[in-house]
Amino acid sequence: MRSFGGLAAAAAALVAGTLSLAASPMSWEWTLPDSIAPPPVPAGNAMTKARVALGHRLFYDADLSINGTLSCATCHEQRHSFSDGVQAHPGAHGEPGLRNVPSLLNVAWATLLTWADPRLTTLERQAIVPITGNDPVEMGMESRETELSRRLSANPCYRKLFAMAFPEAGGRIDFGTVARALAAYQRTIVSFDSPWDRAHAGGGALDEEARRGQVLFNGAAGAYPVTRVPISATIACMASPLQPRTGAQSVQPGWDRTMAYSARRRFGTWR
Amino acid sequence: MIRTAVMIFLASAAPLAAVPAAAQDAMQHAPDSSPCAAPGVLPSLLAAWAEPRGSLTAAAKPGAARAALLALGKAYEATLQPTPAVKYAVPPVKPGGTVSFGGLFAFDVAEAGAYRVSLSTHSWTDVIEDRQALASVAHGHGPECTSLAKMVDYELKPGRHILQIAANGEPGISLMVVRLP
Repeated sequence: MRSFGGLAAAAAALVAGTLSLAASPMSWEWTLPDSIAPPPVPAGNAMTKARVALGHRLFYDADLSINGTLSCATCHEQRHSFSDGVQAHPGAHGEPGLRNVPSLLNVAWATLLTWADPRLTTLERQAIVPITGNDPVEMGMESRETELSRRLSANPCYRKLFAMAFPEAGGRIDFGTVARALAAYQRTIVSFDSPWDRAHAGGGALDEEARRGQVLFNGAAGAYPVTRVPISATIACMASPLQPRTGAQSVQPGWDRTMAYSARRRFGTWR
Repeated sequence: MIRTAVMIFLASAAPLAAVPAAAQDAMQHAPDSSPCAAPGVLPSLLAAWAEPRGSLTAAAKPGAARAALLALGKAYEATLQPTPAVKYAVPPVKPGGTVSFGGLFAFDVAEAGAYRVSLSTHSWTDVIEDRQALASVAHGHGPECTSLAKMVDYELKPGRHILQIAANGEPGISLMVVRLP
């Protein structure tokens, strides 16, 4: 869909700050539109240039998967607005995927991060799920923390980056620091300058294809009445009417798969 | 149903709209988890996939690819190189991690036309022509219940070409290049 492809293009300039390591590794400045407040950041994982740079590198590294075939970017492709444009992505060994790959655009502001578990409310906790999860197996690194540390530690560049990113932890390389770095990077995947954003800021009309897409999105696709919704928030939008839970901490097995199926049917025309 | 349609479409070698090279990955996403009651049937175009295969070791750099020469229409069991040892002619879009495997092969094209690369895995594939990775013209997965996992079609000019395999999860792979009718 060309209009949302434009989001991916906009995301090419997505790093809402500076990745240069020349300055202090502890400094980070958000560069966002005046109307957008910086996203919440957990106290234990302050944004720094070093953490973002490390997370950026890790995001594209297939050594985070058991057999070196999958990186985070394998499923979250920038050219697809950090999703992948298909129904589900198989795991490292070809295990069938169960759920749509959500976009990561503006995920820093999202309050619900996955189809599968509403208890995952921070990117730090979520980042480790595809790496170590087994329902389904995605990157296949469950119980392989030592192996991950071995692989990354073998690279002098990683040793230096981890030391800069996590000086308080002595540059330790483990699931925890990997997840924190990935979370920091994902918070910089920002798009507030898409054709849709510009059109709604009075900067011009959507083209015809995008206009039809918005009509579909707001109506027949049953997604959400769009006013100012970061794309990544669509999980929360869509989950609300369908999720059979009584509280924020309750999960019923299987609801997410039904959700994924429902979403595939709704959004099938987008692919 | 969509998968079946794609399979038939590819097997018939019908022309498809051009797609960027990166789009080949999209076909990786529909592994068949249903049990097979019987072996799948290969179209005649790919019949050689089921015949005795040659044995080959992938090259680790472009200059050595001529030693890993694929004959058109013949399937091979190939041994790949550890990814850190491979120097690709063109950096693959998905190069794989240090624990993955890859390598380079060569094949000769006598006549311009459409050619299909068939693989037993979902590894990343590039065909290099004039020192550039070509955009594929079609891609899909193999017929269900066969060992053929991935097929990528290219429009090629006459001459020697390099086939790059990247991000394979194991050292072994079966592969074949055929000319499409």
